[in-house]
Order: sequence, then C-alpha cells, then structure tokens
Amino acid sequence: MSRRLLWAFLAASLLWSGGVFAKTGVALVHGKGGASLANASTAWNYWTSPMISAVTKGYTVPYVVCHYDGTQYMWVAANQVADQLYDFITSQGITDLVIDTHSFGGTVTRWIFSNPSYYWKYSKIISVTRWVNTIAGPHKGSEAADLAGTLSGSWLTGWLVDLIGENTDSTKNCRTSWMAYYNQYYLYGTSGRPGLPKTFYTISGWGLLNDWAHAEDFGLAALSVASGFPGEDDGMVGQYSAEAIGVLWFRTEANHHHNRRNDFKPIGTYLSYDF
Amino acid sequence: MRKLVTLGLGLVCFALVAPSLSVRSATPQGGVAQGFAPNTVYEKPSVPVQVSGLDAFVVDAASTKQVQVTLRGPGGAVVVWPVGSSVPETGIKLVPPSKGSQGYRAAQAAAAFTNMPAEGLPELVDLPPFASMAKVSVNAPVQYTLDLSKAQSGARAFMVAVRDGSDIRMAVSLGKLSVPARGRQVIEARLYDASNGTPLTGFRVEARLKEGNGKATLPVLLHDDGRGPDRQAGDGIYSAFLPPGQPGAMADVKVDAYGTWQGLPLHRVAQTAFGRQGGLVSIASVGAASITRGEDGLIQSLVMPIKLVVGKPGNYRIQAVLTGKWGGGEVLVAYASTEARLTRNQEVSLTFPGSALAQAGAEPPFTVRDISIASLDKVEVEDSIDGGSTIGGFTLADCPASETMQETPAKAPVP
Repeated sequence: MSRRLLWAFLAASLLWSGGVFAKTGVALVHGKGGASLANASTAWNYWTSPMISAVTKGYTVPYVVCHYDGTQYMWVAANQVADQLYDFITSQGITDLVIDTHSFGGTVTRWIFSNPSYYWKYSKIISVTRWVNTIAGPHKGSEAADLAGTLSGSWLTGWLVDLIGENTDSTKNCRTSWMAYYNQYYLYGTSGRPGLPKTFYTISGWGLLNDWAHAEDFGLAALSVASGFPGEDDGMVGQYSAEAIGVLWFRTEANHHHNRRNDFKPIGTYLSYDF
Repeated sequence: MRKLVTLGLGLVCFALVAPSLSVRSATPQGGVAQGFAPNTVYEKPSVPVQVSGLDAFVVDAASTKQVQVTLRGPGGAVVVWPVGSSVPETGIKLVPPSKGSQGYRAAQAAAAFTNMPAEGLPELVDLPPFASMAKVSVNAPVQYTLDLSKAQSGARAFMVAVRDGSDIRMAVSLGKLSVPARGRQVIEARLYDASNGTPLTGFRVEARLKEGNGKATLPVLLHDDGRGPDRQAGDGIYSAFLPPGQPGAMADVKVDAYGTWQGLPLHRVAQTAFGRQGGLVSIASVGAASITRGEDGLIQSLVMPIKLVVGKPGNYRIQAVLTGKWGGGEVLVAYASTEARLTRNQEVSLTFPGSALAQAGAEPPFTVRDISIASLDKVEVEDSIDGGSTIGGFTLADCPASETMQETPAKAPVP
C-alpha cells in the first residue's frame, strides 16, 4: 500500500513538473490616460465589465486588472504593473499567464519583456508568461501623439503656454520619433532588433465611426483626419504601428475606443479563445 | 553584558535588513545574443523621416477673430479644438471668398462645422474635450476665412489643424537618432509637391528646439543656399545645424515652413525628436575580436572587448550588431548585449555565440555596427559609435549550425 502511495506521489510530482497542472491566469494592462488610472476602479471602467467578463469566460479564469498612472513614461508604468503581476502570480500560484494589453499598455509590457534586469520582478513574470496579446499598441508611435506635440503649449509664448499646457510623459513616449529612439536602444521586437523572449501577438484596428451613440467615436474620427496617418488607423494608432512587432493575430473594424471593449466587435470573446 | 545585548540586537537588525539591502544593490547581470533570419536588411539607426501635409496653429481668441485658411484640393478638412471651454463650440464658420475674389468659382458655400465631442479623448492625446470639423473639397486653391467672431463656447484659444487636400508635403529628417551632448545635429526639411516631385523654393523654414521639459528656443533658420550643411542650392531641401543642448535629454524639434504657392499662402508644420547623449560613460576603444573554437574546430564565440571610461557608476547596457554582405546589400547577422554595474573605468566584452552567426547565411567577414551604451537607471544613451571594424579569418563553414528557431505557438483563428 505504501509503495502504491509512493508511486502515486512520484507520478503526481512528474505531472506537476511537466506542467500538466499548470494554473492559468490572465492579466489586462490598460493604455495611457489620466493619473486616475492608478485607481483599480478607473482601470476597471477603462475595460468595462462586459469585456473583463468575456476575456475571463465569466470570471472563471483567474485574472488581474492592472492599474497604473496613465501619464507616466513606460518604465515608470511598467514597475507599477510588474508589482501587480508579481503579486497575482505568487498569491494565486499562476504558472501559465496570458497578458492582454490595449494601446500604450502594449508598450509598457514590451518594456518589461525587453529589460528583464531593470526590476527584479520582471524575470519571474517573463518566465510564467505564455504569450502577450497587444491590441492597438503604438509600437512605432502614434501620429495622434505627434499632433498633440505640435499643438503643445510649450511651443508658444505668453499666457497661452499655461493655458494649453505641456503633453504628459506618456504622450511624449508615444510620439513616433520618441518610439524610434526607444525601439533602437531599449525595446526589442521591431525589425532589426532582437526578438522578444515570449511571443507577442498583435491586433490592429482600422475602423472609425463604429457607433453614432458614442462621443468618443466622433472625436476619434476628427483625430484621424487631423493626424494624417499613413494607411489605415483606428483613430489613435496606425495599423502599421500596431503590427510592427510580433505576429499578427487579427485585424478588427473596431476603433480605438471599441477595441478595448466587447461591444461593437466581440474582442473580449476572441481573447478568451486562449483559454 | 549591556554591550553584548546591544551587539546581539544590532546583529539581529542587520540580519533583518540585509536581504532587502542585497536586493536593492544587486548588480544587473544579463544580456542577449541572437542571430537574425536570412535577408534581414540592415538599416542605419536614424529618426524616421516625418512627412507632413499638416498646417496647424493656435489662435488667441481674445485678439484674433478671423483667420485665413487655404484649401487646395479634394478631401480637405479643418478641425478646431476650443481650449479652456467646457462646452462645445457651435458658433464658428468657414466662410468662402466673396464674389469676384480669387477662388470664388472653386469654393463651396460656407462650410458647416460638425461638433465632434471627444469624451474620454483629452487624457488619451492631451487635446481638448470638444472638436469641430468641417470637410471641404475644392478643385482649385481657395482661401476661406475661419470666422471665430461668433464663438459662443467661451474658449480662450483655438487649436486649428488643416488638411488642405493638396499633395504639398514637408519631409523632415535628422542626421542621427542620438548625438553627443556637445555634438551638432543636422536637420533637413524637404518641401515638395508629392504628385510630381516639384521642389518648393523660396520658403522661410525655421526650427524650434525644446530640451527636456524646458521651453522652446528661438527659431533656427534653415537655408537652401548650398552652404554649410545644405548640400545643394535651390533643390527645395532646407538645412541647418541645430545648436547643442542639455545632456541626456530628448530634444523635440518643431519645423514650420511659410511661403506662397500658386498665389496663396502655404504653411506646413512637422515635429520630430532625437536623443542627446548623457556622456556618463564613454567608449574609449573597441578591441579586435577574439575567436574561440571548440574541440571540433567550430567557432564557439566571437568576443569583442570594449574599453569604457566611467564618469558615473551605474547600471548600463552595452550592445552592438554584426552585419554581413548578402546579394549586394548589407544584412543583419547577429546582435549581442551585456548588462553590468560599472563603477570605474573598465573593459567589458560582447560575446556573439558561434551558433548565432550562421542563421543569416551571410558569408564572413562581418562588420561591427552601432555600438552603444545605454543607462538602465536614467533611460538615456550615454555614447554610441557607428563601428565599422570587421571580423574575418573564417568562413561560414566554421560556424556551427544555428539552433532551430522556436516555432510560434498556435492560436485559435478569429472569425
């Protein structure tokens, strides 16, 4: 009897070490925005409940909705995200992590996977990650961020400077010229640079006026016209930029507002195919 | 006895604190070495050329009630953001030229603006919460008047972006992605008609610089006179040297071009940026690479020594690529980096494993390119050199077969 138990224990150990009992979890990393995105509730509203429910198959897959100050540079945001991912992995025993990102969240996550020694928690996150899905990531920057920079108050004189104000660090981070610099010296995954240690799948958007009931759609349509994207765009990020790294998973007609939600197109449902 | 207790308590405290100390002061050790897939074309690191068909400016609502806006072709649009207002702007109009004026026949009637409330967007792009857009298609250049006199939103300023529907473009390029703090950056702005390549000459082209979080500098004039940094006079390419600036910071550059085209004013604006090197560590020399071989005679690694002058201790990444010739062009062969905590002048090594050399399929000799050292503490490039030395004395047959590339995991298709 005791020998049977011993064999059973050894078999279970082998299966465990082989990943048969891997515990899967999913993390959502939002994009840029205000400082209030450091609050968990604001980050939740960024994605909305239907999206989170769809991604997690009705909350059956263990999940974490990361929240960080959306005005900061990618490396500041990355450490805030890493703290939450590390806590999630260790507290829940996650050994198979899928990370879903939207917009600048893809850049933040790429910082983690490109600079494993920057913060000691990064390597653990990288090791347990199965893959990363980046929705509309500005991997080569965004022409909309360029436009904001052109109209920034700091180019002006007098009282207009203060009225119009300076761009946030995350907006500067998203300019095409700044991303060229970071892609060359700090980030992996673009052409001519080393590959990322785990596969990054990309999802790009090309629609604009998805839903006449949403004010954001109008704003994105105007932004798209003013920004002058080369090729298709989702109002905020050009398709070429969203697909500049990794492997293209799919393209969607959902614009930059709707491609982080499960309403116009079932993006969350598609993401849940991973589980 | 009291001393012993104190000593004991001290040791206990140290034991409690030591683990966190050891984590904080841990020296980053790492690096990557990879081969590239065949035919990965090598491109010199440079700021992407910013091609702009944009006219954008800010209007002081208190002093300016009317602005002239030129539209030149089909698919034009004017977007206006009221600044400092919490309600949409419904009182602005785009008024065509009066009867008898130039362009009257080509103009549409007064173009209506559509309000584009941009809920949620201000934080996304740092632009105001409401936008108004008027789409105007014309078949010849027409000067409209953007009439702000009846504005009702209470805006104190207006941000205006114009797409004039023409093929007139300004392409702005910089010489380098990062330059030494005291080094000079060349900027070029090419003005041209993209439909036929015609250069636009006689324009006033100026660049403003902004270092770090500082305010913009006085404008630097770009010239098309064939002197100094300008390569040829009258080719529509305007050039200038940008002045040195703050070490270690990103420098933003905004370029404005003003002039007349087809009898009407034309303005183009573009923005770009580059990095100023910090200079905290500099590359003193790059030694000849040594080749180590295994018992089977195949190359185990190429090791390249790099001497560094360390001005400030810190955590740094040193990286470079090897390139080779393939089909008449230059292709990427391998990348290597090493990360270390540098405290004094010292030598580091970049190691290109033999297994990474054969993947690209390019025949040696290989060229070392783009050696750079970047701070991991400050996120700034400290020094970079183009490289250029070659590593040879072996053939592709001396390199071990590359490791099988990891396959991309399968994903469920999406309908």
